[in-house]
Amino acid sequence: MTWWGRFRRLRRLGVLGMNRRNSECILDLNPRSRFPLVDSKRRMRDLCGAIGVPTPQIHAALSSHSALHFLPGLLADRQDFVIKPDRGAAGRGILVIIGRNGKQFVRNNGQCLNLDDIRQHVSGIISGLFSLGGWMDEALIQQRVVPDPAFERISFQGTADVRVLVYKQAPALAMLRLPTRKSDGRANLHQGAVGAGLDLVTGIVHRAAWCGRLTDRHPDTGEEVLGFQVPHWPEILCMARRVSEAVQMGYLGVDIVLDRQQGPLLLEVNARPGLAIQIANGRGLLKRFAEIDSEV
Amino acid sequence: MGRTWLSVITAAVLTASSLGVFVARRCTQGAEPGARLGDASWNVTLVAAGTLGAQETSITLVLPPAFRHQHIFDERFQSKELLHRAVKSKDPSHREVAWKRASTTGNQPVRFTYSFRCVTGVRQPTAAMVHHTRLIDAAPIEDTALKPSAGVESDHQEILQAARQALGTAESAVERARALFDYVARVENEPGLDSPSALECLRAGNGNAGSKSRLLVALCRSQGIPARLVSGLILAGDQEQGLHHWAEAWVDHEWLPMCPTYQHFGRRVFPKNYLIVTLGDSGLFRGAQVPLKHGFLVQAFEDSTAEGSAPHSIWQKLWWRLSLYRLRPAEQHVVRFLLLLPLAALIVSVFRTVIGVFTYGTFAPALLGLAFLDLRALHWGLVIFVATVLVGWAMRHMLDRFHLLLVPRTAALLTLIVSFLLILIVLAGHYGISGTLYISLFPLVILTHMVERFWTVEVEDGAAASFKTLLGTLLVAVAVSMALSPAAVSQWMFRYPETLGIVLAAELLIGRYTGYRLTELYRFDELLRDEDRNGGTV
Repeated sequence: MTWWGRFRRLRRLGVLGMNRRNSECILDLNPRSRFPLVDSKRRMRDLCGAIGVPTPQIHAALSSHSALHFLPGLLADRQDFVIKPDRGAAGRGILVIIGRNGKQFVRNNGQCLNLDDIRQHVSGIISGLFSLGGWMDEALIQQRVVPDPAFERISFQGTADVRVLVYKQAPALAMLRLPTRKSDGRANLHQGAVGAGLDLVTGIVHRAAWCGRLTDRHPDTGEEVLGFQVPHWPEILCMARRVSEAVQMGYLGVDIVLDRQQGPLLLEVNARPGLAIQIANGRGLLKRFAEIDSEV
Repeated sequence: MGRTWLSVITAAVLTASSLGVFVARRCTQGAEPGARLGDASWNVTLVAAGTLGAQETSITLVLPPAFRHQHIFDERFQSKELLHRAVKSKDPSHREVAWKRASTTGNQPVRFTYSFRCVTGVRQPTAAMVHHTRLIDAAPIEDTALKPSAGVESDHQEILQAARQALGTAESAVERARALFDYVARVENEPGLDSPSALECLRAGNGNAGSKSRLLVALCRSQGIPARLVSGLILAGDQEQGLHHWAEAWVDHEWLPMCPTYQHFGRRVFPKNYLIVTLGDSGLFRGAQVPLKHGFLVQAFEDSTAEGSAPHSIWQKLWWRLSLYRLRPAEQHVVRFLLLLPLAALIVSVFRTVIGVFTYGTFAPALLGLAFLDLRALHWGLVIFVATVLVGWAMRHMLDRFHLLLVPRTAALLTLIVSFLLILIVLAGHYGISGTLYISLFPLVILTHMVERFWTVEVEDGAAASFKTLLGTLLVAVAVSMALSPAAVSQWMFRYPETLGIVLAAELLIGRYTGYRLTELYRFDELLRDEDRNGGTV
């Protein structure tokens, strides 16, 4: 197939490309002034508190190297928690601790860490190693979300989440992101997580892709992914809509996790959501945008 | 759509005005108002070869002075066996370079080249040139210009006699110098390789340029006229030549040039293409017992316009006023580099937006490409770059054990990389490999940052992803370096800086390109296959 042939077919399918996403979606629909709000997990938590959308609890925020000596006290009586950069990108710098083994901390992939290792990691976060643009950052100690048992069969060492792509306050596409061995427990598709397209009306998986190829089973657990019903689906859609209204951005990725006890929690919001959701759903975003534009 | 149209229209306006300036420049013959620095520009290369004895450690080469109306720039020194170092002298007008041997083992054949560019007949000498002129053309303070010296036997009876005979009835200083000049000019030209002394020349009644000039100097000195020997080049055509010699006499408070070989007397009629290389009797080399074989290759420099140098029409005067050629050579060098930067950035934009190659840093590959360009040896640049990144990455792994904070860790990494490069330079020097001398040109801080990014990507997204990005970075850097390496590109930008308008227009258009990137045509393969399967719409 010639390049031009591919080009025309992609256009006919309404596939959104990177350049178009950057110029017509992010530049045109997402005002620059709102970015700091979205990029900061702490400010998002405050905003969600104001509009009544539940989020995982933040136990502490460390914003300077001098605050590192509080770390042992902060972690002393915690069995499980998550450490992440306030303005991280692409799931970088997230450390999930699921339990203790004496003085050691056990990661979600089974690795044991000392307090020193954790201090090093936090220090890296504060220095801006993982943040957008490499600026100084804050390290957040967050409640660990214990995944809904429904997800256990179809995720590997991590928390699956639901990504709802919202266009002009209307959900355009949604997918379930399932961590794999390859993604090292992270739910980012480019790192090797499974992307499972969700039917917007029912919340049922209708298609799944892994590393750019179609699949119907989870590569590690071998469980069937197709036909999986995401619990609390109407609530999830409603949350995505409310958050996007509050944030006032026209092209937004809303990430929601399902906690065993608390139900759907807003994990974070992404102002530059990726394009792999189109592969997971088998649908071009431009077509969906056109449908939404004609409804409005 | 509005913004796209705005970009397209702005780009069109920019292109049109650039083309307008370009066409106007071409039509009014103002394309090359440059090279009006002086009468002519030349590229001179000295090649010298010989054998250094076991006792000899260095050779001193006298460099041509930049003074009067001769400007010397872009000097390059090259040798496989010898290292060069400028000799500090109290007199800034007297420039020398010492060639030292790298190893000290017995007799050694050596060879070196020294090349420079020069402009003769410079209209506006720089401050440094004026200063050097003042030093070199000062009145002779001591009587060095009067005493006899090697090959100039000005106190010999025969010389005195000849001088007295030649002077005849001449009275004024100029007339006396002229009379002596005429006397030597009548001595037959005898081109020979060895130049006998003044006395021998007088006795033989013939001599080459060197001995005739020595005779003239000796005659002048014997009559109390301070005089000095001048050696240099006659700049003409593309040819190989040796040093030519002539003389200068201190007459009426200025140095009066006299060439007894080709019979030029006095500053007014003296040819403009005589380039002075050394003044006095010292010769070109010092320190070598066995004389070195040497020769000069003189080439006209491409952007020289020897004829019709003065701007004629009003237009040409205008272009000349706006021209970058008016800048001083050092500034021209900076401007040439600056003009290449937007082009490099444009190439990066194309690679990122239209092709979709991922790189470490946005403009880091552009700077890397320009560094490769400066190296003039792409393969060396690539080898050094890849080796440095890989070694830096290994060092980064080692540093990880120490759990250092970000900034000190990066500083430590930089130190390690610098140490690695130092070892490389020393080793290369030891084995006599050239090419590593240019390591200093590498943008080291960018390199350090790249190592850090390489490590982060490797840890987080796997080795495949980090090597892929490294490959992308290299690809873009090589593309920048190859696209900009023809001298014509730099020349064109320098001659027609209005091209920047077209570059800007291209950047505007690429900035509004919303089509797919080349790599995306394959990224969404699964969607295309879907369509094939369903044989219809998705």
